[in-house]
Amino acid sequence: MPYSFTQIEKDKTSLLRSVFTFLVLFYFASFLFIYWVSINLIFLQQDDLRSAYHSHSLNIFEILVTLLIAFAVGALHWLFSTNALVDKIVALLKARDLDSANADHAKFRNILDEVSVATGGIAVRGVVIPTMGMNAFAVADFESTPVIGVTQGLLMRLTRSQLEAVVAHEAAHVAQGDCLLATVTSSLFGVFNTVLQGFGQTVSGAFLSSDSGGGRKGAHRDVGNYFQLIRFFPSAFIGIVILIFVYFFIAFATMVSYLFRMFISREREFRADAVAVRLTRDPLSLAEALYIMAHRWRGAGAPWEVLDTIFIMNPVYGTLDEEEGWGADLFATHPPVKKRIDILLNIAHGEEDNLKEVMKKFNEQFKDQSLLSPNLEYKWFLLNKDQWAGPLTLLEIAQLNWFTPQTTVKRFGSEIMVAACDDKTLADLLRTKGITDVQKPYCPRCQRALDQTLYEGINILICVGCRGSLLNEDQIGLVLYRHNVTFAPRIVKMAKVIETEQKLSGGALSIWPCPSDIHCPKCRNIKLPMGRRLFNVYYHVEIDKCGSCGAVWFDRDELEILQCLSESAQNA
Amino acid sequence: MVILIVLSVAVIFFLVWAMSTYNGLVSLRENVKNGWSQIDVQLKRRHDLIPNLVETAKGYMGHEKDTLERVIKARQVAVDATNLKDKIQAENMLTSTLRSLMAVAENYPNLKADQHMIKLQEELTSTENRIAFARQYYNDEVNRLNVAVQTFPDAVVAGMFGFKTVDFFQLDDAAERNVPQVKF
Repeated sequence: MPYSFTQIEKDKTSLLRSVFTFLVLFYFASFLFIYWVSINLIFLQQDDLRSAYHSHSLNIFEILVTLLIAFAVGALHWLFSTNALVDKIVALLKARDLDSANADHAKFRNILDEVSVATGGIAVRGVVIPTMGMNAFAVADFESTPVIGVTQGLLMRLTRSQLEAVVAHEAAHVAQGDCLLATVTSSLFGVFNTVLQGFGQTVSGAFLSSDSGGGRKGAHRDVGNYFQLIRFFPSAFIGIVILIFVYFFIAFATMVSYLFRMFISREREFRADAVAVRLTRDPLSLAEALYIMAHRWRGAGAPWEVLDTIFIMNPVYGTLDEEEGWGADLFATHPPVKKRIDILLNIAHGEEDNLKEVMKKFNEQFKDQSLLSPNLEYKWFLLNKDQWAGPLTLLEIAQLNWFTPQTTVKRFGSEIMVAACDDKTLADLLRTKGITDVQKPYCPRCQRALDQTLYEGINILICVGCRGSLLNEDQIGLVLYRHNVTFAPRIVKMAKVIETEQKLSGGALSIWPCPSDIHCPKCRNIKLPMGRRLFNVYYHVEIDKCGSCGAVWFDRDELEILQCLSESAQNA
Repeated sequence: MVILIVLSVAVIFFLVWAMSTYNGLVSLRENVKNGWSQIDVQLKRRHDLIPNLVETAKGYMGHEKDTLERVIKARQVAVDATNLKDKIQAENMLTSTLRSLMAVAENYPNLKADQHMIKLQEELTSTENRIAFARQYYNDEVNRLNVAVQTFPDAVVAGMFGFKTVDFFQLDDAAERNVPQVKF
């Protein structure tokens, strides 16, 4: 176990050499392959067809030149990626240096020094990310001092021994050398990820132009044009082939980055846990810290997804981490939290009930976050069925199990109600929870995006094409409650007709739904179509209601008729 | 002819192994020395904190002259101690005087609320932790060295070059494990 400073320095040099060699070899192999294939497939096509086809084998000169080019490209890539890497990442995460006047920061500095003594004296720099999420990370590169960072939320809420356990875990990563490996390889190969995305977009943009007029026809037209071009200029074909090759090269590079992640796999996290226990001799504190972090918001929000590995706990929820099995072992970055805690409890001869006690005390202690940081927290009111819940802070909202992108929310101090996915901060929270399609719903009749409109003081979704509207269950009650809109004569006429029908039927009509022909635009539950039914026994307006999320789709006029009926019933 | 080649290969192999083992033992020994000096560094840090602590406490608990004087005397003894046994004894005495000082300070809520005192207390806690970790590191490294020096193949090389086992940093006398008497 390389604890000592000199050992770490020695390991750095060997790591540097081996990773750089790998990079150069990677470029060399790829360039050689591309070159050989191009020579054989493309340029030989121009040869005189009468002579027998022979594959061009590479002579030593070509190999050396390719090696030289690969070395140059590799060196440039290396310098670009690893230069001042730690500072780049620290800036990206918006982390700040420690302020000695701040008591919490002074405590953190002391803890860093204590753990440093326990490891035999590794030099470490501390930073704090000013977020209320709870997470910790470590980064290192070849020249700078390694950096261990925690979030403000973690610093304020964990006890001293729990903090020490977390810092010891990060220091273990630094001392073992896999912090350096993880940081450098994420940077080296992370760039391919972004290039690949950009590339894909450009290519698909060129071939599948999505102009609103042409649609599919437009795409065919473009591709057809391109083939016309090739007929007249055969060399255009070379361009397209090279393009395909570069694309595959970058895709291959991304695969390699995933392979490296495999290296930086779950085993290293387990080992870091073990070394942390060895350093602090306190497995229970680490178990408590992990338990608390698992149950609270971990969002420090890594802007590049490849940076996930540097955190003690994956900042994104619901990923492959919690799975078992060889597939997850290959590609997941962190082990399942439960397993980590179980192992630690085993060492500590502790019970999970102790942890539950700790969590309960923690929740009681930090129930009202505004006491601790009044200027860092916003508050919201959330509509849960018919009741307004709140004011709740971001952390508390993250805990709720009924919080969806379509929950109606209201900022503390404002009367404007929006869906949670439209509030910027809550949308970010949803994204850290792994909910990716925080999107707008589409009109089930016209297939165009629904627009938000203020109707009766409430934000509802309306289709400008067919005048249909989509409301949550709770919003209907609010709309019916307000009487600001005057109705067109035809609405009043239709309402009168329905009123007569209601009286005649005497409420004995069945309101059981029959399957509608549309699917819920809100929850997009494809398995379950909406149910076509009457609104209720009193108001015989036909609506479509979703069986899984309760959203109601009103076709044109249906909502106004309902309001009209409700008002006349109230006036009577 | 063949036997010569085999023999020379074996000798080369032995030399390479002996060299790597020797280097390993050297780095272990240096780690132990490093650990020892670390303990000294942290002990000195504690010695430097104490006058500050006593001054702050004096402002609030001037009547408790006894306790404060004991702390100062214990610190002086610890600073002057030279050999290992005296050092360990002196440090233990110092710890117990500090403990009684903190216990008495519980009766002075103004002292506890004083900003300076809060900071000092944090520094003291940190120093105690650091001393504990330094001792832990030292003992861990001593453990590794002792194991390397005594286990079979490496023991041969250790014997050849004079590597010896080292004692752990612990109390020598079992009786001293009881709460030490503060005697001057």
